Amino acid sequence: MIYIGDEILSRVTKPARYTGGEFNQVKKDLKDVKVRFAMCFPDVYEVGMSHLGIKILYHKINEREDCYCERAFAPWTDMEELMRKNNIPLFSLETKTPLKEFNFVGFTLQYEMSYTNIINMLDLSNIPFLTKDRKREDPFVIFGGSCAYNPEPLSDIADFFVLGEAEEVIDEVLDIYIKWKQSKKNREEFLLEAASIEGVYVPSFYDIEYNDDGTIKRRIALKENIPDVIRKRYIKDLNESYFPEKIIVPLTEIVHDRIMLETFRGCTRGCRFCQAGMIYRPVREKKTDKLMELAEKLLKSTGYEEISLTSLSICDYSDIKNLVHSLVEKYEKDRVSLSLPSLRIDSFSVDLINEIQKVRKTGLTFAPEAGTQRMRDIINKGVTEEDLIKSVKSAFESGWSTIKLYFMIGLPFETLEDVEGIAALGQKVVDTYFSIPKDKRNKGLNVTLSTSSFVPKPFTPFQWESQDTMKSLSEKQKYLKEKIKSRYITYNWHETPISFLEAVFSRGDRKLTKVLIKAWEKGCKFDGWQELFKFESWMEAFSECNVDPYFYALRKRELDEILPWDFIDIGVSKEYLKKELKKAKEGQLTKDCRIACTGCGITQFSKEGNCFNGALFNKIQ
Amino acid sequence: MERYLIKFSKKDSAKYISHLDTMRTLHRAVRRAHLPIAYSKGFNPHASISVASPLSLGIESSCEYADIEFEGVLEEKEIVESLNSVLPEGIKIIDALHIKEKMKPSMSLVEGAKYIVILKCDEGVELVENTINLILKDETIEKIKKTKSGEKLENIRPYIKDIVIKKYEGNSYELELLLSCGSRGNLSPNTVVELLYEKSDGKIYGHPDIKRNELYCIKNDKWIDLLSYFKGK
Repeated sequence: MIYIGDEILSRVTKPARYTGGEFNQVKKDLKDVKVRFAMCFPDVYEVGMSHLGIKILYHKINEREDCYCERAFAPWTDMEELMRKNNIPLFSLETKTPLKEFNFVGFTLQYEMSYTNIINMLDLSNIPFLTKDRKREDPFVIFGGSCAYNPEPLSDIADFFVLGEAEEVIDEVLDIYIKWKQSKKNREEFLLEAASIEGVYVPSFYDIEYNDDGTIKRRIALKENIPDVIRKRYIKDLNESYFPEKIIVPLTEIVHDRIMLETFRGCTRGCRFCQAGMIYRPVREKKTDKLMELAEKLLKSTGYEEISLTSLSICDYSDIKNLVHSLVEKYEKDRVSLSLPSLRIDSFSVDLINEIQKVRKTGLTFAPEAGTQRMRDIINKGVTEEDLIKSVKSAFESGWSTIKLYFMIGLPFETLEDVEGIAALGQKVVDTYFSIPKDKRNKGLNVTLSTSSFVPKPFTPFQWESQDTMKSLSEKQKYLKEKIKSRYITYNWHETPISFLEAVFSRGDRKLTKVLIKAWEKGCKFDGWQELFKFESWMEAFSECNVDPYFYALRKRELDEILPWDFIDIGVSKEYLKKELKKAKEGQLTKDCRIACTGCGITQFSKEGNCFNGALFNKIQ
Repeated sequence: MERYLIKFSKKDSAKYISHLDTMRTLHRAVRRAHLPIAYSKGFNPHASISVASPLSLGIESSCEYADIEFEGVLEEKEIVESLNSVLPEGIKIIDALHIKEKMKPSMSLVEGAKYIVILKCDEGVELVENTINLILKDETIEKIKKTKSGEKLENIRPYIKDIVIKKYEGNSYELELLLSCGSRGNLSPNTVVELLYEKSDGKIYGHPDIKRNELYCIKNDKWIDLLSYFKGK
């Protein structure tokens, strides 16, 4: 156990990030446990503690008497400096144990720009960066989360990856670990056993042969009896799966400081840029009764006043009206408020939100994603201008006056007309507001247009497409800014170098590990934080490692190229993705798969042949 | 609406919970304990909890006070016990008192606070005594105070009521500071610690271990602790 003195904690910002001791934190006697697991999030406490996945896993592992899961986050730069000066290694919040003493150090990969923080956290823990350098007493460094679907950029670092929903896999991993720990077997023997678990990928058991042009020639299995294809794992029935009834209540405000009630996984919309929409298939819902029961327990155990209904698209939850009504009716008197992120653009959604935000109209956010119908059809957004105008009209009439609209620029097949369309759409929203009589609308119109830059992601129909160049993206941002005339419109955009680097890592291969370490050596960390992002250091790292970043970000891939993540089976077939790319080029829509199966392949993958587990079909809106 | 005064302590890592977060933490504990807290009226109702005197980050306390309003009459003992079963590590309710008469809010009554500070000095007790006397015999001690509109010089001497050496062992000195606290004048113990460093030319040193021991209001021209005041002692 490490003692972190007052002379340190009193000198850092937000010291409660490092103290632990929150209500519902799990405390165990170390004598009683066989496995110690450090659940790590490669960003600061407030960000990491807002992530639902690690909350689920933390409590799930701690349900086992023989295991103890603790938490660790990236220390902010002020704390890191003091830790290094005083030789304090990175420690867990619960027992202040150095991470090196754990059996597992598990990171969740939620965004590529957190990768340097992983290196930094391993360094602060004195854990060797590379799997080949770790000894028997070192922890197993493992990764999961959505970015693990392209594991290759971290392949030399990871002992193994868990692909898919880790709640489904983790018990199997812990069980074989306990057996291994009691044996005299070496690290590799454990990894070999782990590799036999479906969903576990041990990168050091494979080698990659490259073509002269840098693309992949073939993957070579270095061991016998290891799978060529790694199938993702997923929970069949969310009503039966583990969900915590108690969650840690932080002592300092975090980003999402509320109960996150997960309503369903997966999405039926099939937007062609969206990775989540593909990797989380099939759609599985929790029943309203189950959600009501969880809400009751979580409210009691946390004292939170707000519940956020989470999913990829909340209004697509089949029983949403009933769920919202039931929650409002039951908890209105206790002043529990509800929030619905990820609103769909239609009047159904506006009516629904209108009901729960009777008094405080905090502002509405919609994501049309593109400015013209042509572009929205290419990405299969399935939303028309009429939908949006109707929705905002109804919102203005109900008393809202702050509207945020999210768009992407740099999408495949985009023209300047499509960019201009974003400004035009914003203007139409403003015009809609003024078309409503003064006495029927609230004062203070504020329309915010935000653009992010498109990053092609693995396992999407756009996985073969090039990213727009930084120069072109900046020009488009400038162009759009010029096209916006109304003083009621605010325009926000993302910095293009960060999007560029995201694109490099999202579709990167094994050659990137050394660049990552080099960039960290040059002081790169917290790359997702604009104020700490050092683009020039990154570019130096690429050049010193002789790796061309444009090869990954800008290169359009041939359809027959072996992609670094091709060996992973997410259930959605590559053929389907190709078909979707072709339809995108033609501007053809693919219908929501609740209307009719679009043949993505997930039903064959699941073998049971059914989607929408738990959904009420007669209620789908 | 029934008003209660609760007295609580903040120890160990809980001293790193900021003032706003302390209010949030108390509110959530009240909700976990299912106590019928009252809410303000209006568009943005908030729970009726107010802490008598904000405590700086990093300072322990055995004497925090908060006014809480409930929708009905509760047993004082029940409040203490039910809250203590749902509070995070380091925060503990020591007492609860039902205030039946109409009295001013605690926040507006606070006049002073007592702090215990542990500091180091290798030069003997005389030096510490002399340093304290040097401070106490001054009539004006000007310090720059940061305000919302900028910085201004302020005479902090009137806010230092007393500094006493309580005990010492080896090079460790336990000092008791009586300082103004509240809306009519407020001085952070950290400022006094800096003054001690400064006036002793760094011979008094060390990371200060500061603890707030009592909060006072004035009754018949005398300092009286908040709980006794409300109990009518």
